[in-house]
Amino acid sequence: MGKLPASPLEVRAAAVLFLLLLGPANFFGAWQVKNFASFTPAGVAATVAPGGPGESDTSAASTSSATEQPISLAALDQPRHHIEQKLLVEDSHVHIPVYAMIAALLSLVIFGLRLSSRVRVLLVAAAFAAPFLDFAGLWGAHLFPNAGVAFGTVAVVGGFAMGAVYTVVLFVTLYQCGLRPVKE
Amino acid sequence: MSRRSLALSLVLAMSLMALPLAAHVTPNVQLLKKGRFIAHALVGASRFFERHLKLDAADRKVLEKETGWVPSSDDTKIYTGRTKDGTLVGTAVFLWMPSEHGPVGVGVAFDPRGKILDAAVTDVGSEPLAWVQPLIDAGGLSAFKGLAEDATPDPGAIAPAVKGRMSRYYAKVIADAVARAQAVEELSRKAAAGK
Repeated sequence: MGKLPASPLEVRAAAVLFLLLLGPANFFGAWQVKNFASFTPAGVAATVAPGGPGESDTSAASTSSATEQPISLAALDQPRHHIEQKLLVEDSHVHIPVYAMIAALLSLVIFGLRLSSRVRVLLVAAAFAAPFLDFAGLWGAHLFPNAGVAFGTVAVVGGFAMGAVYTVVLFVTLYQCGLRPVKE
Repeated sequence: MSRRSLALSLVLAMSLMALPLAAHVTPNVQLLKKGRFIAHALVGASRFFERHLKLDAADRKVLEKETGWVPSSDDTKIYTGRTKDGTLVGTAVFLWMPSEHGPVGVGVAFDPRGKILDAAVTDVGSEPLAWVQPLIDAGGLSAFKGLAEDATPDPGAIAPAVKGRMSRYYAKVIADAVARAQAVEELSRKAAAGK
């Protein structure tokens, strides 16, 4: 524990490069969220709410009905993206294992940093809890649309927590492995 | 880590970062904005609405029998245009049709009695574009203008001079889209009137 700053150059380089490469991945991930979902709880809830485009609307009303709400023609051409259940399953299947691997790799880096045990425990717990919260929020908003905004908040908090853990680990690693003079 | 190592690491990281940018999904081509289609087709309308149609089991069965298709909730959104005093000018339906080589988005505008005012291909996958474009260039979709609500759209009427086998296939895809739009519009009109 805590030996990364004093480890050989190649070990420190691997840790720093891993974190630097993860940075663009996080940046594009955030861009993807901006393009296809939202950074607000209500936006997240609307994106994953059940019954979106592409989902065959198999639920039948007791009688056919039509309700109208005003729109502007300009708004009509704004791209709207919806994540239906099949896509949410696919997203979960792809993202959750990758998030688990990233959390595990971040944990390895955290083990090597010169931090108190309490801080390490906190960071490791946050690294795993953040993606869990993210997907718990997405599925909650999909399955319980009436509480969509609450679950959307959980997803947004989880997403930002992932970014926060990464940022803390990146800067502590850069400081301890590159910027601060190391006493062997 | 020395400064030189750090600089080298940064360059390497930036180079690797560029790799994912090379991969991309073939996008659809937007030929006509929905808003522009509606504004052009529903002349005189100054207020626009999105109508959410919810079908009961009987109407759903009728639609499936007529078209062999179950619409998504997005397919049952109908756009209505009204005058300042609320008089209905017409409605528009936008549907995506799947096809062997990519999706085709079709918009159909109707007058208040279900007669077709205009039809257009709004979007198309980049691969089928090569076969759909000749149909559009030949003014093929004008064949549906004035079609009564109970008339069946004839794919043969879409740019008959365009003979290519794949273009004829896409003429049928477009005609099927118009038939689906007619069915949705008719049910929407009945639902809005309370049957």
